[in-house]
Order: sequence, then C-alpha cells, then structure tokens
Amino acid sequence: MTAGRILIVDDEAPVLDVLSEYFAGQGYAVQTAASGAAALAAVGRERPDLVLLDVRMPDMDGVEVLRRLRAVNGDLAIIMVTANEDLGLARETLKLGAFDYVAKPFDFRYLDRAVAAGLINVGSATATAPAPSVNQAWTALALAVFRAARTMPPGGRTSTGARLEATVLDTALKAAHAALPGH
Amino acid sequence: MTRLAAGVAHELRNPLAVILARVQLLQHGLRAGKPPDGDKLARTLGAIEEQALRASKIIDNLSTFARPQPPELAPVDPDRTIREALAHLRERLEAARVAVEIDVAPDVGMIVADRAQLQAALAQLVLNAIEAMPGGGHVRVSARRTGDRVELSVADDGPGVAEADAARIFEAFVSTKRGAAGLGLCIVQTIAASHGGSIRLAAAGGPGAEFVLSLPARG
Repeated sequence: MTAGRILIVDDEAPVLDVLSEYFAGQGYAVQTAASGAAALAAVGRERPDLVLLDVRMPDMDGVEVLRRLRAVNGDLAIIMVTANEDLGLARETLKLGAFDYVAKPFDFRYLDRAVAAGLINVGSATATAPAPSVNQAWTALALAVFRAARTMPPGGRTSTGARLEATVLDTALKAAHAALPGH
Repeated sequence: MTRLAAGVAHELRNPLAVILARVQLLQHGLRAGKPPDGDKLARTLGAIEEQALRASKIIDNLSTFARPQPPELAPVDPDRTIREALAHLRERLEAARVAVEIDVAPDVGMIVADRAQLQAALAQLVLNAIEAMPGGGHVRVSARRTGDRVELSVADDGPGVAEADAARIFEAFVSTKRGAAGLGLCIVQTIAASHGGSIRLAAAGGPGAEFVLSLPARG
C-alpha cells in the first residue's frame, strides 16, 4: 500500500523528474502531467489524492486548472507551486480552494509536511469509518497547527515558532497519518 | 528595471530549484546511508550540470542585453557571415533534422556591421527556427539589397507566431516556448539597434515565421 497518490503538474521536465523521484522515494504513487490540459485529464483518469500544481504554465495556468478541478472535485488536496514573486497570487489561490502553496526553490521538509497535511485533510474529509477519538484529536491538532502556520507572515516562521511548528506538526501528522484507514 | 529584475528572478528560479533539489536528494540519500550507485550519480550530476549551464546561459544573455558592446563596424560580406553563423550551428541543425537553404542575391554588396555580433544575431534567429520545429523542417536564410539597406531574412516552416504574441515577442522575458528565458529576440533587437538597423517579423499568424534583419549597406 502506498502512502497516497500524488499528481505533479509542471511544464518543466527537470522539475517533474526531481519531484517524482523524491516523492516516489517517500513511498507515494506518483503521476506527472506537463500541462494544465494533461493535468485535468490525469485527474479524471488516475484519481490522485493530492495535486502539486505549478502556477505558471504556458497554455493553461495553474490558477485556471485549480478552478476547473475545484468545480468537479471538492475533496482533492491541491498544493500550488510558485515562485517567490508570485506569493500574493499564491495566497489568493487559498481562497479558490487550494490547500496550501509552496515556493521554489523547494524546501523539502516543508513540502513533506504540506503534502502529509494535505493527505490527512483528504483522509479526514473522506474516511467513512470513524477514527478513534484520540486520533481524531491528533488530526484536528495537525490541521490546526498547519493552518495557523500557513497564515503567519514569512518572517514569523524563522524564529522559535518555526521549530515549535515543525515539532508539533511532525508529531501530530505522524500520529494522525497512522490513524488513517489502510495504515 | 524592476520588471527586468523580476524576469531574471523568475527565469533563474526553475534551474536553481532543480539544482538545489537534486543536491538535497543526494544529501538525503547519504544521510540515510543509501548513497546513489554510479549510474544514478552520473544521471544526477548530468541533470545538475544541464541546469547550471541553463542558468549560466540566461546570465550571459542578460549581460549582452543589459550592457551591449558597441559594435566594431567594418564592411562585412553577408554570404560569408551567414555561412560562418551556420557553421557554428551545424551539430544542432543535424540533431534537429533541420535543412538549411542559403539564398544570397548576387547584387547584395557589403553590410556595415560588427561581424561577430551579426553572426550572433543570425545564429539566434536560426536557433529560434530550430526550436520552432521540434520534428525537423527547413530554414531559409537569405540576403538582398533594398535601397541603402541589406535585408537578412531567416524563415522557417514551423507553426509561426500567433497574432496575439506578435506585438510582444521582442520584449525581454517574453517567450512562447516552454523553458525559454525570452531574451533571444530581445538581444537580436539590441544588436540591430546598435547598428542603426532593425528587426521585424515579416508576417504574424503563420504557418511559418520569417524574421527580417535590416542593416545599413556600405555606400
């Protein structure tokens, strides 16, 4: 059993290659798409749990792909991938239903947590069997910490808060992930 | 300048992101006691080198664009300059299965130009043509005299330039190609301007694209 199904969308093959290699190595089932249109088709075909979606693509940009995916699938976790100068736009995508955004160059530790939290979010939204209450609490805590951290200004994450966030989140995610059906 | 800086930042971010990610993956493997085998290491280093060269090329182009060298003007033979520019691209042309036709009018005369810069401009136009035809095709490089100008034309049989893109393709960091920095045509335009010449797209909409570099003829 894999840790989850991830679709990575980017128009640059070297970016797809390195992210695929990383997440496959982490135990995820990875698919890739090199355009917005290919991403829409792949979501219908592959049924991923989570999409890593580049904002800037030449034919259909990531924001439009996000809109279209949200229109047909409310549960899918979508994490926008963006350059630092597009962070304003990336924050806007949260209002459109993105779960989170990550900036290039990649911080794999943050990316790991964002993906794990995104999958927990999907799991908690779609799990049919009630999880034990202690694990529900871990899940709720993990998501609360993640969401609170996400709204902090970038400077706020570089102090003690960042280490605290990482420690609490890693522990909570580990516990909550273990509680998901199939784990 | 702000827009230029933003453009540079954006274009460098992807190659740097890939380089950093590749290095982090190597470190991750080493820390976990799982060093890559020889093949894997060679592939990783190849990917890093490719992206570092890409970033370096962007900076080279930017230097040319931001601080163009004043041309050292001298009479230049168009036919010879075209052939020299194409000679530098022989391997690229063969690999891309692009055939070249050279058509220089007998009465074209000489151009007043910096030979190296003119070669660079022509090579850039031919490179663009190659990239516009991923499945191979034909490029026609021609030269003819029109009044006190010599017009050098590079035409391909690729998809052409869409009407919507035609007005912006000479701007810095505007590209219709994936993974391209969008500096090539901008540099050609800078070279043309420093020679008292111009560059234009002959017709938008395609099929095929033709770029015409117009430079002062010698007397």
